[in-house]
Amino acid sequence: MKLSLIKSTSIDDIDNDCGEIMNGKLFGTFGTRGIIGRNLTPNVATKLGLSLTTYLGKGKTIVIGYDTRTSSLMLEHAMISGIISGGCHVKRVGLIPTPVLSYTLTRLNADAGVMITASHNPPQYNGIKFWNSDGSAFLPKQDREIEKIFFNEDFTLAKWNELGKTEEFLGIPREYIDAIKKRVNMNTIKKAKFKVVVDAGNGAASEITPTLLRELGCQVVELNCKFDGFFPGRNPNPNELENLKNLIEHVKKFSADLGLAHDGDGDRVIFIDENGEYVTGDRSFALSCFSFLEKKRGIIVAPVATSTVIRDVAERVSAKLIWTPIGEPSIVGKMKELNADIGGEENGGVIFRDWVWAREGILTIAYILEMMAKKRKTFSELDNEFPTYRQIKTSVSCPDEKKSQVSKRIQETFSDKYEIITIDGVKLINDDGWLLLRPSGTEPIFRVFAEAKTNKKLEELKDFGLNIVKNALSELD
Amino acid sequence: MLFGTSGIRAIVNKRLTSNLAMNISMALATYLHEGNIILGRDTRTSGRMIESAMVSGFLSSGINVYSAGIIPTPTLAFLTKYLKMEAGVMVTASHNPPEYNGVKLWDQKGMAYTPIMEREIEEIINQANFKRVQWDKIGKEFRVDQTHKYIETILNSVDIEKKFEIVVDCANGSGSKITPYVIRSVGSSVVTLNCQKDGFFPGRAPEPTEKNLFQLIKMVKILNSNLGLAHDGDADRVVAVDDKGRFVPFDKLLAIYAMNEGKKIVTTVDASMLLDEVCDTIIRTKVGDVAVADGILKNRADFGGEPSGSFIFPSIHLAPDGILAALKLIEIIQKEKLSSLVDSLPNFVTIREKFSCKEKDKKNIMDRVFEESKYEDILTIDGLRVNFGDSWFLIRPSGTEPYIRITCEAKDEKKAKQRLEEGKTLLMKAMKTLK
Repeated sequence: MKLSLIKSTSIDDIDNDCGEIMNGKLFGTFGTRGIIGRNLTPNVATKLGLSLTTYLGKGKTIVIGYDTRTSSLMLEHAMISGIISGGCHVKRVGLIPTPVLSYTLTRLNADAGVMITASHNPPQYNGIKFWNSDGSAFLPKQDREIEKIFFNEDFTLAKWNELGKTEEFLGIPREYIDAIKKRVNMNTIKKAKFKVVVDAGNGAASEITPTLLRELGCQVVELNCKFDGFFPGRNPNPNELENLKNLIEHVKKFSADLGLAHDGDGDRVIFIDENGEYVTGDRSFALSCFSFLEKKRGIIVAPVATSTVIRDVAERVSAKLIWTPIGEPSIVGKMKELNADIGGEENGGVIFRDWVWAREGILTIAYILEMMAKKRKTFSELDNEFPTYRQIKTSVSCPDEKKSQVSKRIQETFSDKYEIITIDGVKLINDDGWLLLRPSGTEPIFRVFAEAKTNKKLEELKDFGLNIVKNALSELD
Repeated sequence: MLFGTSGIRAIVNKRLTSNLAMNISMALATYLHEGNIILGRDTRTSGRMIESAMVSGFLSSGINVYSAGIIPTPTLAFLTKYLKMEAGVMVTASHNPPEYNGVKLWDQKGMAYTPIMEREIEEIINQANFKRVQWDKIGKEFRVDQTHKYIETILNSVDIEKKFEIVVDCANGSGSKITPYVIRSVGSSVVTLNCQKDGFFPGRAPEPTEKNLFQLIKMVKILNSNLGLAHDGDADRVVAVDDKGRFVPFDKLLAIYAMNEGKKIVTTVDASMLLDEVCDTIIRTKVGDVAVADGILKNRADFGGEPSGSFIFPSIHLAPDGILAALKLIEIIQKEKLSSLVDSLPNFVTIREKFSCKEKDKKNIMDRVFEESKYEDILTIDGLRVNFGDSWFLIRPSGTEPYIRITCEAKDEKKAKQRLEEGKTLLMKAMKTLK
């Protein structure tokens, strides 16, 4: 029942603009992304490395990690060459999940991080994303500065006696696992003796997640848990149900307590409950909040597109819920500002305070298991403590130049009839559910997101949403 | 012109950037099309920077890279052949100062790339039309450590029973571990100098000249050692200090090897006439180890070398090998002390002088030199060498610097000066007519 009508991809996918590397724009929502053999070449990576060192200044230390893609080592070498020639030092951590890179940054007191990954994109893609010393992703503002240096080729090169050095740190995943184990009640989890099917999608978490689970006393069934950049097991995007059919079958066949699926770089996790039902990312985010904040009265930060279930959980644990625009930098920014306890996204990435300021696909698992063990409940039993909702995403065309007027028009028309949130697009809320009408940043369309408790209401809401935009447009003409 | 007499050499982050290194690797990949290559570097501070750029370039073109890390150049050349690689790539600037680095290429036979091959690579770089593969054809990187195979091979090639006391100065270069090790392996005791790998070359400048080796010379004298040996930055060269603490002149060292290695010897046009005196057959080539190796191969010669400490022993391989040469010298001094070998050779006088000349004028001036020359016994392989039986002079444009050099040699100083004047007159005439 948790599977809503989402057939589509996550919001990240929709908004992900791969950045036209050659056309003056480099960074999309996720750093630089490109296609190997086409626009993401070693020369681009070297120049990016030099842009980063020029931005940071000589003598700084930069941590580099990468995911399992076939092109990752190639890009790593190119980045290393650029960084060294710019006079910064490199600490190589090798093949690691993205949250482990964030962890490494704080652990090694490095000045910046570079993660080579295209997350959930198909194997021909790769990407380069920069990180701050506190483990948070570069803000769009920082990306723009790097972009400027890159395109002006305004690089600072080091002299032969100022060149950077490289060092390898290969023991980090072990430390990371130990650190996670210290954050949860190990004995409680161990006693529960969970049976878990892990589908790491042949990505960067292929070893860490099964290892962690075994050390938490779980019986682990591994699926696609071999590092392989060809992604032979499945498409690396876990937010599409059809990519997880095999996992669901295995959960049923082995009568497992839980199924887990990562994306390519392990900053997200998607859960399959003991009945083989797919759980959406915002429900698992909500349950993470339930586990993490019980008896804490903390602050939850969530993007406006998150399911109402997050509000239900917030009420249940007496937490304060703060809405933000969509996107990891906005969530992390707000969390830092308010010193919030937990934040997350509907794609299965959760951010925890006092850990690293980045999406976690691994620590999240430990918290969910801890709650299941403590409350002696199955995943679906926990999930059923909260109402279910249905969601849909669609779009309607709208010329770029009219987007802001349309938004304004909608706000004016509905502000007295609905609870309205205008942090990112226009969100209209009533007792039946909510509608989020949001102009796309990259395409001449308005995105329409709807959530309701029943299919009937959902259809009504969706049509209503599409009409709102269409009407606003025609009224403008 | 990117390639000089011994591969590419340039100042790091001036001409030799990450980007250029990447382009060189992609050009070589385009030239090779597919296969495996072995990649190594010397101890320079920029080694990793150049190496990483090249690994990335190779992988992007679908070439598999076997990374050997810090390694002497002769070892890399040997392994290129031994491991059946399509090519060997050595990141080194050999004896140049520390701000330099470079790239030297080796073919399947373990022989340096010829100028023709180098020109093809250069052409691909200029066209910037590199082979690029899709994500599923990206090359793989492996680490390789087969140095022991090389050591085994060179140790088996010498017959050494006597034990000596030897001082070794490896210039903080990539021969720093292996040379002391092989010398100990043949039973001698080793005192090391500048044998910690360090790209700042804190001990001395990497070029093994008499001036740069004053510490080694002192050490040999103080310790009363039998022999002092010194490498350049990548151990493709070796020079010697004899048991009396005297630096052995380059030409004499070359002659000592030549006398021992066989009948047919290859050397360059700028080498001493001493070689003509001690060898049966001398074949002269252009300056540069690439030309010497080519000469050895074409003439099936027994040995080849240059008066710079660069020696090639074709029974093992066709790369200049300072480590193997070190062992060979130990083998030689079993029969006779190095000092008496040196003293048994005649002393000739060599004078060298250089004249400023712009790169673009070099060819025209040399054309005029050839026209104006009225001499009969000449060699025109590389510049103009005029032989007089008891003396000679050579007018030759430098391959790497903006100079035309005159080298002359005779049995006494008076004669040598006379030859220098003759050469100068000819060169001045040529330079004047150009203006």
